[in-house]
Amino acid sequence: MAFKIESSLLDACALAILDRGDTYGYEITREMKEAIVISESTLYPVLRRLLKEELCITYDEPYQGRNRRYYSITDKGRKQLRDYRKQWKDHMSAIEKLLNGNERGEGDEKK
Amino acid sequence: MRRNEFLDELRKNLSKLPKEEIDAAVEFYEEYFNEALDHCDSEAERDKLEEMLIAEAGSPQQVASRIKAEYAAKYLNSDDNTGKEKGGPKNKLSAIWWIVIGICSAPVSIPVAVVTVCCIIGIFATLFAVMISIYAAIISIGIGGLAAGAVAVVAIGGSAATVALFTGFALMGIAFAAVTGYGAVAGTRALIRAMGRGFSKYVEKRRMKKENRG
Repeated sequence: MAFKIESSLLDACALAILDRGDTYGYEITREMKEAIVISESTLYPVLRRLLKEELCITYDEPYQGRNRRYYSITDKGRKQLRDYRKQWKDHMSAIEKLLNGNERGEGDEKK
Repeated sequence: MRRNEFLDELRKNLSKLPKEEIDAAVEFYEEYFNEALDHCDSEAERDKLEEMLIAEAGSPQQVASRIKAEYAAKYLNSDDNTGKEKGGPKNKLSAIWWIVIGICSAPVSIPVAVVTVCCIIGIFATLFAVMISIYAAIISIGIGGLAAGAVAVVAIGGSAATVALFTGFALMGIAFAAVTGYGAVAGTRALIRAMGRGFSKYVEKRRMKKENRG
């Protein structure tokens, strides 16, 4: 895939996953990978950033003798997600227009 | 590379970060490996998956450098006080350090300063004394010449040779005094001018240094 996903879009995707419910690192990575091509080393800095900016919190829960660290979205995170969703809508339609254009008139107007 | 090797290498590569950052990162990947491998049913599957995951994750150095970059970006771009706080105490500390050093070294540094000033005064005093003695010498030669002249005048009634001799002495003395006196005065003037120039250059240099620093 040609399109590298830049960091704030990754943040938005991670927040969207958390918005659907608290979950842990492995699960978040798995869900992201279903949608886009990322490597394991991409996601951890994203989560760390969200944590530092107080867009999510973590808590530990033991599972089968080991520890799972769950990530949970905060109100600040939900607000940020709303912003991201709106920005994405605008961004997506702008790119769509540029890349695929309207059926009539757009191309001629530019000349 | 096996999982533990990966985690150890990762920890090593993150060593410059604060402990809690290192621990959080290593724990994340440890948990990730544990989860992934847990979904496997057989030992063989597990080994294969482990290799694959490690290959996908990239080298520990790569993973570490991403984490470090994220950490650095946070502090470079930070609008809040954490970045400033780091600067504040550090600056205050070096100022306090200087005060402490100054106080502790006072028993040595103050006498040293006093001695230095005394030396400088001593040097100037010596130069001055030398100059005065040169003048004194010239003046005494002149006086000697005059005295010889006086003797010559007194001896006019007597031997012509004596008159001639002492007149000779007189002329020599006065001429010598005149020439060296003139030389001494000129030399003194030149010396004073040179000192003045040297001093003002020094003052200007210090002023320029201060301006550059400021």
